[in-house]
Amino acid sequence: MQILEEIARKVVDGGYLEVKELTQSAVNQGINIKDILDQGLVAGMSVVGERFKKNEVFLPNVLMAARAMKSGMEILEPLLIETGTEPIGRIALGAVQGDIHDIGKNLVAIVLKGAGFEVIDLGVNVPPQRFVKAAKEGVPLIGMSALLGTTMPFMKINIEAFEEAGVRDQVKIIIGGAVVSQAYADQIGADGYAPDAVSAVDEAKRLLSLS
Amino acid sequence: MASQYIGRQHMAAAFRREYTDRVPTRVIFGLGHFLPLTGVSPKEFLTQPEKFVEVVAKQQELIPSDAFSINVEDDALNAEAAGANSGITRQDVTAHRKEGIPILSDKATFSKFSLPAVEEIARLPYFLEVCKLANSTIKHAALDPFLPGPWSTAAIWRGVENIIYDTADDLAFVHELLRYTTEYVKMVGKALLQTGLELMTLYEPSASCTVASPDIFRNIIKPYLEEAIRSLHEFKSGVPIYAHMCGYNDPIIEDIIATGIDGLSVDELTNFKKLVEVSQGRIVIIGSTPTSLFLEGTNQQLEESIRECIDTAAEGSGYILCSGCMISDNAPIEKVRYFLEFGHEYGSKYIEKIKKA
Repeated sequence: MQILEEIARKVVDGGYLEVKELTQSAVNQGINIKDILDQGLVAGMSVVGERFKKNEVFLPNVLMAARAMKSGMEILEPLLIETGTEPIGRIALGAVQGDIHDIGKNLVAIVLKGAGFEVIDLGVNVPPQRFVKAAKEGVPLIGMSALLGTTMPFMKINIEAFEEAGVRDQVKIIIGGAVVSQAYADQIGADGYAPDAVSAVDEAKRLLSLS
Repeated sequence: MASQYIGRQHMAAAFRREYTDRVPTRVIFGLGHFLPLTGVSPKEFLTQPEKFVEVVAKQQELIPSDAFSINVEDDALNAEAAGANSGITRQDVTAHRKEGIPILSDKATFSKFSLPAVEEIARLPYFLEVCKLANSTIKHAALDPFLPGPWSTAAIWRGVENIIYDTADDLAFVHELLRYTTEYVKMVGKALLQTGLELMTLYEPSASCTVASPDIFRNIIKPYLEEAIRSLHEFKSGVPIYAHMCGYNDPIIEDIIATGIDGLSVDELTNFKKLVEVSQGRIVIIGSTPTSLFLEGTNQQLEESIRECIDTAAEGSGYILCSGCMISDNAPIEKVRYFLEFGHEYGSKYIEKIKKA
């Protein structure tokens, strides 16, 4: 459908005003909401995600695309709720204690929402107890980000906090951030690691046995 | 065998492309770990230069790095730099930072900014005193102040995400902000150079391709960084100024060199071999044992990294072995010491082998 291809192209280009307009137009035309989301917004974001993995585009391009996707999702989200579409999973996301960098976390949140997840954004500088609280409230997947070598240790501290609270086996933990690696995830006992926002969707689905 | 040279001499030799008797070796490690060991309170640390230097001295006693860093950027400095006319106080900046809200999240605030005189930046005289005292007190190691460069200063104040959107939505504003931050960096940099420094770092973590892009670096960031470096070189020739850019820099190595920097400090996200190959000795390279090894790695893994770094980059001098940025306060001191000890040992053997060849 031409308009959905155009939405996808505009997401790739980062044209957030055009995406908003085109998304509304697609809704007005009566196109299925899930199709607009998947074949328009998510399709465009996936193209950018793949190019990012290959170093063909960089974070600014991803940010612009995510902003464009978000502008379309703001129109679709209320409509999805109206149709009774259930989220495919729930995740609580936060930057660990002492870390106020949130770009990566925000990107992951946008892409996960696009993929159908309910995202509880815990914000930045999140102390261990808040992550534990999310687990106690039944959130099955916890995402933690750290951008600094100095804040990275809080990922392990948080995992220990889950163990002390007796909720470690109730959650899956995924970590990410520029200083983090798969090796570090393995060392500290995290369940998953994602090097970028698009990979985070695949990893989240894997951890919740959705893929 | 103990070196016949002190840390300052090792560092200076690297920038002169000369050998001493081992590869210069340093770490990037905060001072917070050492406050309790000295009994200095945080307030004393932040307000009394002699207490600050006491903590640095304790750090150097326990981890004898060839250079030590002082981070010349704090919330109060940001607030003062904005000038009294902005109505922004140090407390505002601190509160904003804790919540992750940048002080220029509202672009309109920038219209109230004016570039103050150096003596009007209330915290800067404190840092200048610290630099003078540290330089004259800690004689064996090189003082290396870390000052955010024009782009990273702008990104701190405006917010990284916001300034990236601005590059598409309001490029004129980005340039206006960068002109301001460049003048600010030049002003503070010159004041620092006047304290008798032998070395200085402009740190630009937000300028790497982990955060920015090659286009943004080349078309927006580079001219201002180049201007700041040129101005500082002209002000005080002979003092090496290097850039610290954590993150992925592979696509922009030539562009970074073209800014006129004397050296580049990187972490493990930049391909170290590629950096050495492309730079061909035109800049001093500093790096890059991953910081995670200081937390969770074994001594064998540290040794492997040290060997790889030295074998890759140390030929011809112009290389300083360093940790990535930055080692966590939680890292065991023994690991940091081991890095330095093995770095010295392997670095000595390497230089011996080179000199015999």
